[in-house]
Amino acid sequence: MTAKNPVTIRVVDQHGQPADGALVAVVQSSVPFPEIGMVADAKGEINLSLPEGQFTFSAHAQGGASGHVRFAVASGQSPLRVDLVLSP
Amino acid sequence: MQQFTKLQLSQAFGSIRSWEKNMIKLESVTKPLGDLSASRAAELADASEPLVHPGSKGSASDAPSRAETHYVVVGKSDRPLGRQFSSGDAAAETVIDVDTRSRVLETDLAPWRMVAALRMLAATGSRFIGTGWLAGPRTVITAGHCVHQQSAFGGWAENIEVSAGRNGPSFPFRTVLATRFSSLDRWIEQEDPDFDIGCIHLEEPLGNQVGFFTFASPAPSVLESHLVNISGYPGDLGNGTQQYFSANRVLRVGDRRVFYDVDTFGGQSGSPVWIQEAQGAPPTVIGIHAYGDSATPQTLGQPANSAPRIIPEVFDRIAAWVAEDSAGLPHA
Repeated sequence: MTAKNPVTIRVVDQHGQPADGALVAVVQSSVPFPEIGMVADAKGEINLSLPEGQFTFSAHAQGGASGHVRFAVASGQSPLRVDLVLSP
Repeated sequence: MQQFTKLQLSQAFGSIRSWEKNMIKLESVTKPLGDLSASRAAELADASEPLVHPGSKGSASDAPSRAETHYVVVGKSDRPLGRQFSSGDAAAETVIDVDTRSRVLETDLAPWRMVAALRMLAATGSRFIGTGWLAGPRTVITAGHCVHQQSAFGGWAENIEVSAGRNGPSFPFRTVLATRFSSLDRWIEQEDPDFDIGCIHLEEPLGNQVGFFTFASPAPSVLESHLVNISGYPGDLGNGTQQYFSANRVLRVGDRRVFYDVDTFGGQSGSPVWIQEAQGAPPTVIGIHAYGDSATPQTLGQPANSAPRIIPEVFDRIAAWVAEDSAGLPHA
């Protein structure tokens, strides 16, 4: 199995507040990634281990706010933290 | 409900396992339980039988579904379906060009009630959503990564809420909490997308009420150019609580996967990919949706989403899970 790297995605609204319960999914990636939906926790966070590659994550909150973030994961890198900001 | 004989099903699907030249051996791997001893797997289906496992509409309302009449596509097509619908944004790659997904409101009727919204809890405390479909009275089939994955769950799911036919805040049937799961060794050990298949074993016979799908392992020639239907619970529309449907033509039939440009989104992993030979024929699941375009080989030459096919070995395994669950047997 390919080595994985820890990644935390923090989903926040336009005011920087955690988007508890937002639904997060990968919409583009350079490696196969399944179509599972991830639920942001009370801190707005999703914790994953990802292989090396490029990823675009999308988030949708109740009420219709949504957003995307694109980032790259390098093999052996230190834990990565990414902010995903929702727009109304 | 309309019943079909094995002969009729065999004639429709022509699916004797003779078309598979290189049979592979698939083992079931089940979430360990502390107080249950291992048991041998149930006997596999007789190789001489057509690879079709009949479904049931269940004991709930047998009223016809208008959505089934209007949405579900049947038979083959020599060209892709027109994209006349639009219900959302097209930013996602798994929504290919214009979003053609349509919401299903009659989720208390067959076949929609045989599709279940899943909410998974990992041992880490993280939560996820997916989709499953009833394959037997006590058996829900889904993607393997909905029951077991290292990267997000850290292994097996802790538990999964199964809500058949969920419709937003409405639950037409009781949500069942499941803690017993199985998958295939090739998924557990290698996370091979071709074998990304999982099973949720229910403690109560939900399928007797809501029904369960026919599933089959048709020959590739049967699937080529066939129209396929997918219904599930995407995260971008209705926050994973509403059922959405889309359909289109099969683009390619691989050795172990089937590719199509049917629109899907994260949360629809585990959705049934079904065909229908004609109006009134049983909806017959031939694959388990699991991947967007990221898992599509470039040789296909166009964006496509995909599902592990129910190849004969997978058919045998699902049939064995159904038989074991129906008999109340523990899983090896």
